[in-house]
Amino acid sequence: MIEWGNAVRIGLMGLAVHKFRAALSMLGIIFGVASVVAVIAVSEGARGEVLKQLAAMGVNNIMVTGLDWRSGGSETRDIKKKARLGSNGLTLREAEAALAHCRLLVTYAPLRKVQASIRSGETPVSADVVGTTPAFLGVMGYRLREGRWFLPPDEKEARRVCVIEDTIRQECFKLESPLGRTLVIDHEPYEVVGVLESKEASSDQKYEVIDIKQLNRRCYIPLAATLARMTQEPLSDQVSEIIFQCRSSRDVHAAAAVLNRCFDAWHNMESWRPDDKDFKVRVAQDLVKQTEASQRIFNYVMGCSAGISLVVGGIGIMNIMLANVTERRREIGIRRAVGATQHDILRQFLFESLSICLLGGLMGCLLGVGFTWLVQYWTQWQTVLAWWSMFVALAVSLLDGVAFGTYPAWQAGKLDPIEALRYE
Amino acid sequence: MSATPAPDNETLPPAAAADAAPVRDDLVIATQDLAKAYVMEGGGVPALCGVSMHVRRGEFVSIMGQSGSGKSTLLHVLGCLHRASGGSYRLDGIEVTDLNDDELSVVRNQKIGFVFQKFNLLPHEDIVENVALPLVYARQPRHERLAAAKRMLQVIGLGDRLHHKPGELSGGQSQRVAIARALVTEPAVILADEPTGNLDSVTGLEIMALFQALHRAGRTIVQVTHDREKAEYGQRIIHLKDGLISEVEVVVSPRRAEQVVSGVEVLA
Ligand SMILES: Nc1ncnc2c1ncn2[C@@H]1O[C@H](COP(=O)(O)OP(=O)(O)O)[C@@H](O)[C@H]1O
Ligand SMILES: [Mg+2]
Repeated sequence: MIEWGNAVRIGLMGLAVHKFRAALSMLGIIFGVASVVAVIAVSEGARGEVLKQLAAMGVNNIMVTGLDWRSGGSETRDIKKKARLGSNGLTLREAEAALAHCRLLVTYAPLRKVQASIRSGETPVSADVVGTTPAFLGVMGYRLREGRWFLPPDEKEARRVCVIEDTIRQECFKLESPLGRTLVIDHEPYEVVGVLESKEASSDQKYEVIDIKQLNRRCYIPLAATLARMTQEPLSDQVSEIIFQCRSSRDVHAAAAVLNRCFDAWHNMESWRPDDKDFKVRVAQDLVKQTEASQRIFNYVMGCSAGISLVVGGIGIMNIMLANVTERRREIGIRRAVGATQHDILRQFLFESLSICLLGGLMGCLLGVGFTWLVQYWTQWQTVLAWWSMFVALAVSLLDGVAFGTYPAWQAGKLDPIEALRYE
Repeated sequence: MSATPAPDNETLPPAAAADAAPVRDDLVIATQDLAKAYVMEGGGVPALCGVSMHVRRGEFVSIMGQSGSGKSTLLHVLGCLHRASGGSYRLDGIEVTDLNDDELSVVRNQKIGFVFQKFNLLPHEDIVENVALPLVYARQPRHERLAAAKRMLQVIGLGDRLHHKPGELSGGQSQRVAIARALVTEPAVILADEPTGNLDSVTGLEIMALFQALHRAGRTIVQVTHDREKAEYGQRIIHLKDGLISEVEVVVSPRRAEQVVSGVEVLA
């Protein structure tokens, strides 16, 4: 076995003699490897995205949203109107009943979005006022930046306290501590008792639970306060959304089915199409599936193009190596005459095709980084360049070199020395 | 094919006739009824039809014959580049007739130094690398083989051209590099196929001088030539005709190449 240093030298010299030809034959490998790197970067990014979305909604959570006849897309068909006209929306009583009925559910947090003006001193603040209960923080898994979340007495006594999200804090209080300060909501003063940590924006807005512009712009107040102060019917326990939490993520789909049946029965909705009903049960995992599906198509397309490039690249390598072997028969004859075995020759040419592939692989990695950047730039998808993808890509290109370089190398090895020497 | 009975195969000449220098008794090359036929469509082409010959250690032998008489074929078989299709061949005490391809490669590497008419240097490697090439396949470490190659190039008088490419050398220089490559493994025999065929007469004489110097230094050399004058630089001439030995001639007083290549004395 010739030592590696010499093998590398001979291999690279073989390349140097036909730089342009080698570069051309490398193109397939370069593009193949670049695609592999890009596919992995995109799918890694998608995975991160999915995890982020799951985190935003809670893996164990089921969201039940009330829909009135106005909401729900562009076409407000008559039939939908009819279905929803008499609707009372979701109520706390229903939430309690559902919790009691379905043992898979652990707890729930109601949300009630209200139209309210909100000011800091005299300055109007752009924020969504949302009423909710002490359970909400735990159900969503949100974290406090400072201060505290609601306590049972806040809810019981409908106290005028609020917890704000980070963007509101930044806009209204700048560097000062907002704790103990007041915000005026619908002409009534609310004391700020806590600030939530800001949530990371998901880059895929289409499937975002929260409108991106309003991200981190919520002002939470006790649900009781909204019920007591901000509705025309003071005794109503109507809410806009109920978030149920399951014991484990495995139970989510079963529990969602139960909830669907409960609300169907309570709202007399069994006979309506799912889209026309006055409520919608959503599971975090399902929303995420849409994101995954769109990225899976991309992965298939890129994966196929990577595969094709690598095969075409391999054929290119085989082609150049066969030409190489023919052209360098005399060299083969000389080496054989001074004592090279068939194996030595085979190894030399195999090493040469591996060098071409490895070099192509390295260049492909660089191009792959460029591809990834372009994909991110054009599609706004989150991408993550994984270092292991480079190893996969290089391994694949080496495999290509072996797969398509062996035959020409074998041909070289079994040349008859004298025949080879006769070649001009 | 000649209809005459058994060819006048070579018989061992009396020791006294060989040379003034004492010849050791052992044989580097000994063949018995060596035959070689080229396989072609429509049957085999016989090129050697039973050659029995021997070469003693330290001998300088010429093989002569007309074009197509089988000289190259014989040398290729002797050089283990071809396998004989019949007969037996002992090279430096090894029976090579039955060796497989890998073993033949090792024998070529260790026992044989081949010099070709067309030099056959690797054009993209500089001349030290060219001379060191056989040592690559002798699995010697790089620094050792480069050192050996340098030494050998100095001996043949090209020590100042180590990093030139073969294309930058004249024909005579190229052939000297090829001879250095043949010598670098200290082979049992040097086989040269028309080594002066591509050279003008003066450079050809230089090569003969080099061979004679190597011979004096104890090397065994077999050269092939179709030129009577070149053949007479050797001690013995084996005449080949239609794949058979037609005559073995002892050169009573071999020609002497006048010029002596500088530095060759080191070999002694
Ligand atoms: N590769 C080959 N295939 C077929 N016939 C060959 C081959 N090489 C040589 N021969 C034939 O073998 C005979 C001897 O050739 P060769 O040994 O080259 O003679 P020389 O070197 O004395 O000119 C010739 O008749 C030649 O045509
Ligand atoms: Mg010939």
